[in-house]
Amino acid sequence: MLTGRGFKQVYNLAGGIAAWQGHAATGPGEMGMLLLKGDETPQDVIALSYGLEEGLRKFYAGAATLAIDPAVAQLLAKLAEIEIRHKQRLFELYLAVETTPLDKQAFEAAIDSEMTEGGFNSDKLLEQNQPSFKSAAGVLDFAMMLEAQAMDLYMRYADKCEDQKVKAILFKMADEEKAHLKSLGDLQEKYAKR
Amino acid sequence: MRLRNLFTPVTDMNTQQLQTFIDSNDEGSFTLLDVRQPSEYETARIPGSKLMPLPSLDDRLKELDPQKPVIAY
Repeated sequence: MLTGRGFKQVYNLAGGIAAWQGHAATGPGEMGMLLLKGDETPQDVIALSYGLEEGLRKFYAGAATLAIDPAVAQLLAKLAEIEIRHKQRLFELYLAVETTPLDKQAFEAAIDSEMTEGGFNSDKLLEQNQPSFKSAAGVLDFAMMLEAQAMDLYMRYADKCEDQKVKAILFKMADEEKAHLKSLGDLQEKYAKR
Repeated sequence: MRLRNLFTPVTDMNTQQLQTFIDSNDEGSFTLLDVRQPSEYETARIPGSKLMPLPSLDDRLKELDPQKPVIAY
């Protein structure tokens, strides 16, 4: 159907989703979408993303204090640190698009971080997923699931937004999550070889 | 729609090729199209996929950019 309607490059995934070996996202397409109306400015979307990244950082940092195995705690702390870098990149993006920017403290004061990237509440996540924090493999697997959800959420946001600048920011965030997912996969390989 | 297009073969991509394709292309430069039913999409999807169930595909094709590569499943 697509090739007959002007689409130049169309591929079929052989074996469909059943053959897919990467991490999958789950949940309805509307999940986490209440945060977005579709007419947001680049600044709004940056603030929203900043809140989501901070929520995830809080989750990883909280999980690090609960982990019994020091290697797992260290890994969780490292994941929390990566989210700080994500936030820093978002703040730099904010400075680039805002003509009269707030300082970092004032910017952060206006951020809502109650929802994590995948559209969950960080406290509930901690409560429900403590068993995952017993091993590095469990932590990595759980983190990859979260990052896959986050990437999916950014792409759904991008799909909903009309403004091309906003779309570009959201695609960039999805790219960041994709890179994050890849580095988590590399870490998983490293731990699997131990 | 031309009749011959109904029989135009579409290139297959295996999951390894898709992973490499996703890793080496920026998000927003291609479309991952999930043509299954919403319940299947909710259970598991490739992150970043756009849901467009097969029965609604014809009516909603204008939502997609024909210049971007589309990988459907």
